Amino acid sequence: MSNSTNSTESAFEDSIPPIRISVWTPLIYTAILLSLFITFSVVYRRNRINKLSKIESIFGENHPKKLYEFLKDPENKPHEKVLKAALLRRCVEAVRRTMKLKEHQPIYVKLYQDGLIGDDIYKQFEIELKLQELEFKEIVMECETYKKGWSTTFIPLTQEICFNEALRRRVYSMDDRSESLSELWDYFGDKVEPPTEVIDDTKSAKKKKEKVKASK
Amino acid sequence: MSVAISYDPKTKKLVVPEDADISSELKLEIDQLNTLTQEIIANGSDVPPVPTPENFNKDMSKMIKRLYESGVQAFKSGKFQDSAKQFSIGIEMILRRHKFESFQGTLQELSLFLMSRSDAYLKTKEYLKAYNDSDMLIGMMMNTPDNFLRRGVANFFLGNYEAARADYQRGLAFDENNDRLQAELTIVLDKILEENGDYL
Repeated sequence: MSNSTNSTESAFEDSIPPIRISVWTPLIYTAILLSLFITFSVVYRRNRINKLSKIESIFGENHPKKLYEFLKDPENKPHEKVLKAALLRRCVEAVRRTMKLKEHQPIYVKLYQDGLIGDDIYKQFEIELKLQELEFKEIVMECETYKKGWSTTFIPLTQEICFNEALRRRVYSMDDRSESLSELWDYFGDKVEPPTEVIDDTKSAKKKKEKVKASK
Repeated sequence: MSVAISYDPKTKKLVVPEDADISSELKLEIDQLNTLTQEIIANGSDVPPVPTPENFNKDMSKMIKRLYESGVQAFKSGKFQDSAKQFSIGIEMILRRHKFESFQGTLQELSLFLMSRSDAYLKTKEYLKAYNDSDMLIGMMMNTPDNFLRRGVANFFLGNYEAARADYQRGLAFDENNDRLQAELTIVLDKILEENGDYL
């Protein structure tokens, strides 16, 4: 029995010619596979970055950051304290934005859970949170370049500046608020009417002189 | 940056040409940055100190206190217009404190001045201004029944009777035995009835 099977196997092996594979074949195969994988990941990442860059910021333009970058430009050569002030302002904006985001986080989560906002808006919110974290890291690294160990007092200081500036903005907006409220409530009691006619003494004196001359 | 902003090394400020068309937000940012720069330079130290009650500008506090006392004096002698002016100057001075000074200290000073100025405006019958001051006070210190009384009175004279009623009732939620609030509430409830052509 065993003899017969051996003879059939050898007959089968004899009928199929042996395939010769070059040493390069697996290498080329791996290279193609790798290059395909790399191209896919590059294209995928590029698409993702493009999509992320198209997402609009919740807050609009970050002016303090742009001003800091503008001042950092070697062409300007500003005083060191101007740069420090610009960095503080940049951090103040980051503190303000983070506070606003934390304030609105429960609302975003609730709306998302209830299906009232889509994935895109919730993702926009999450990206904004991550961006603020990165912004803080960058600012702390920057502040260490001006003075070593400043980062420990830097954040509490910017928080104080943030609150003080908000208070000033609120007080300075009072006049505009008064105007809009008076229009809203149709109340003009606080407004003093300007004089209807301004008497210019010099003009009236000239006219009088001309009249006298004419009569003469 | 598309707008022609330049740095002036003499004044150490960012300068925008007068005819430049810039957004109000950017203008505000530039102003805030210039102010902070001047304050840091005036402070003299390498980096601004951490705000504490100890490094709160004491000289400024004395001047502000003096202004407050003169305002109160004018109020007591019946010169309400002068008193409101004094309080406004005091508020302007408080806002000129360095931005890196203690926020808590600034807030306390400001609330004192706003309270007094609101009272002065109520006396001079500038109800909208009084409303604005008391509204800000409520935003700053929520649990003070007197501030609800101030805003309620301002609302009453502005003709917002329902808002005045709400203010008095909120004030009473913090202090239910406040006689003045109770009396004002009765007046405004009568007024609301009168407005609706109704009576008790």
